[in-house]
Amino acid sequence: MRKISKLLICNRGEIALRIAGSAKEMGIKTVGIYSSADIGLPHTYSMDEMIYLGEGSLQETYLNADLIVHKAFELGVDAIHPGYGFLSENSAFASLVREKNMIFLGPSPKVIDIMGDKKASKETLFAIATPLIPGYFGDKQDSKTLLEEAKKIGFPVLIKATAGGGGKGMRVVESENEFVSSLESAMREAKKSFGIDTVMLEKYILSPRHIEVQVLSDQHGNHRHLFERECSIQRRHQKIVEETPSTALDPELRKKICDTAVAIASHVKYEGAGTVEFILDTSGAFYFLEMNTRLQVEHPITEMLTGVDLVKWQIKIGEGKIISFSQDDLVPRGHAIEVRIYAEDPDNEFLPTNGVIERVGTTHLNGVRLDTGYADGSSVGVEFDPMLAKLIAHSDTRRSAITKLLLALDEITFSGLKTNRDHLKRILNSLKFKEGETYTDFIDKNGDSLGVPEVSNDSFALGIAALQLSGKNLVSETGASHICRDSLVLEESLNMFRNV
Amino acid sequence: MEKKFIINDTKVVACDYGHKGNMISFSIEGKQFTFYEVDKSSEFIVLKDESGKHFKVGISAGREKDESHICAPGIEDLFISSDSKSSRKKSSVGGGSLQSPMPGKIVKVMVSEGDEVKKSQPLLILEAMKMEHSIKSPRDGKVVKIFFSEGDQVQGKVELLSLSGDDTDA
Repeated sequence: MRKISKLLICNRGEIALRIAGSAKEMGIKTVGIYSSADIGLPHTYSMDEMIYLGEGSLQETYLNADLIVHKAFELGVDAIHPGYGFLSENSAFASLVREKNMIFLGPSPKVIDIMGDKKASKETLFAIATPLIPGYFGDKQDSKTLLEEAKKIGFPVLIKATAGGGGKGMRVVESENEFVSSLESAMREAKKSFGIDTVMLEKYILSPRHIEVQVLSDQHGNHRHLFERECSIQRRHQKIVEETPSTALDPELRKKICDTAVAIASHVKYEGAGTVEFILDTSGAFYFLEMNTRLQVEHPITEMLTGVDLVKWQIKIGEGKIISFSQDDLVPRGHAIEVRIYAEDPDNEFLPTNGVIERVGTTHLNGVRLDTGYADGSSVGVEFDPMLAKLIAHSDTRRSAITKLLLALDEITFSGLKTNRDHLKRILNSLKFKEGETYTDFIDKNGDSLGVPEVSNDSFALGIAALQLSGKNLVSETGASHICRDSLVLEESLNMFRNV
Repeated sequence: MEKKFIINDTKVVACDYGHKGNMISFSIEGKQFTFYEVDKSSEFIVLKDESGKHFKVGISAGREKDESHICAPGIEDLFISSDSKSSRKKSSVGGGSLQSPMPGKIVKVMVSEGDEVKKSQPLLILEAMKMEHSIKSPRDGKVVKIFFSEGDQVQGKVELLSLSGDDTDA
């Protein structure tokens, strides 16, 4: 047992702030990191102490393990929380932290290595008869062998980078003649993103659902699950809507899938918070996909459903504490849904956008949580992932959670730049979503009904009236915004007087 | 008199336009609208229509100069600007374009100058936001000039390559 009194949060944006919140609640001193690209963002001024990583590439800043560990050691940090992304699943970083006698809030470097490698994890889990998708996980990486294997599996086939994540280095190949060019592209992207271009092949399952199970394990061999999350609604293989419970699981299937996740955590001697991801097909069969050995972006829905603060438990487990609740103590309450608000244009191939956030917006609805790393006036650049915020609603039923989230989306406007907010509303409002017909191809299949609706003249009129009656013309220049009187409007009202 | 606006890339003409004090009235395609200002802050304005229905409308600066971003419950966001100046030319970006959709790096050039290409054939691959975006040919044609090589950094909305051939249906 070792008390954590000072925690370094090795991340940026909303997750850095979210982790700091729990640490502060526990009376722990927080240390943050930031690079020159983030100066002025809330995470750079919301911790007790800050480490400035200077300017430069990600490798020189947020991914600079040596520099971060060195500075943390100098500041007398007890533990490091890696958040998600960046160094969170980097075993060399976890080792470095441990070598300096600091606590890494996550599993052992060995477990990170096994579970972080999609191939090694499958080989390990084969031993406990975990259901796996048919595929090729071999060492031979020449295009001829891979094509032969792809043919054996049968098209459509999914090419995945073994070190992958977030859809990078991933390609769906519909037919044999597209295979080689997709393979090259996937390998190139994998090399860029992860430094390793090894790929594996999998049978591509049609109309699948993405179901994942939150697990929590202490250092004393206690393993719990905190139920599932369904994250089927994705674009570019990245999740945008997540909910719990899943509409696709009955109590029996839920127990089976959650127990499988616990068996995996137990088998690999997992420690901390982790997520076991599965693909569920239409027949109710599920297959192990991968395990994320870190806190997940969409963890808040689990927290709202169970009332368990996952970050606090990561810290307690790091201190060596025993999980104080039994599996039966955990009772899911109601329904929670999260949407991810992105700076992107869903009506133009989801390409990222940038600009200045004029106004984030506020919501005071009961049971709504907004996790964001931005504030009014923040600039959104192209250096980082374009996620602006996570908006989460919790209610007693799925139906009322949807309604609540739609109300919250009306209030959290992120105005000033193009976001996917309207697109998220279209999804939540769609009949298919309301009926729980959620598959990973939801966005592609329902593209027509999720497109830009024709704007009514009533809406145009409201916009014109609001703009003109506001008596101001808002001008945005070079990243800053100014409010000035519009002389045109004044002129118009003078003309009007003459007409009367 | 009339006033012209560009709203979400659509030209909207407000006819019989009148604005006096807290009241505004105009018609769009023959439908008459009248609104009254009820309250106003730096962030929003509350309007009332003739039937007494109230609307709380958020107004902020938009994506570019002279544009405003309007957010109101139950409607899609509006990006609105006055059409008094010469209409802004909207550059077409995306999969069918030969422009870079955003700043990034050219990771692969798949054709050479002089090549005949088919519609939808991938021409080059741009890496941006850590993702690969394939730039496909919008039509059948011949590659006249490629302005960048593999490894080059490019800005957003710049011409990446020129294609010959009939571009009327592009």
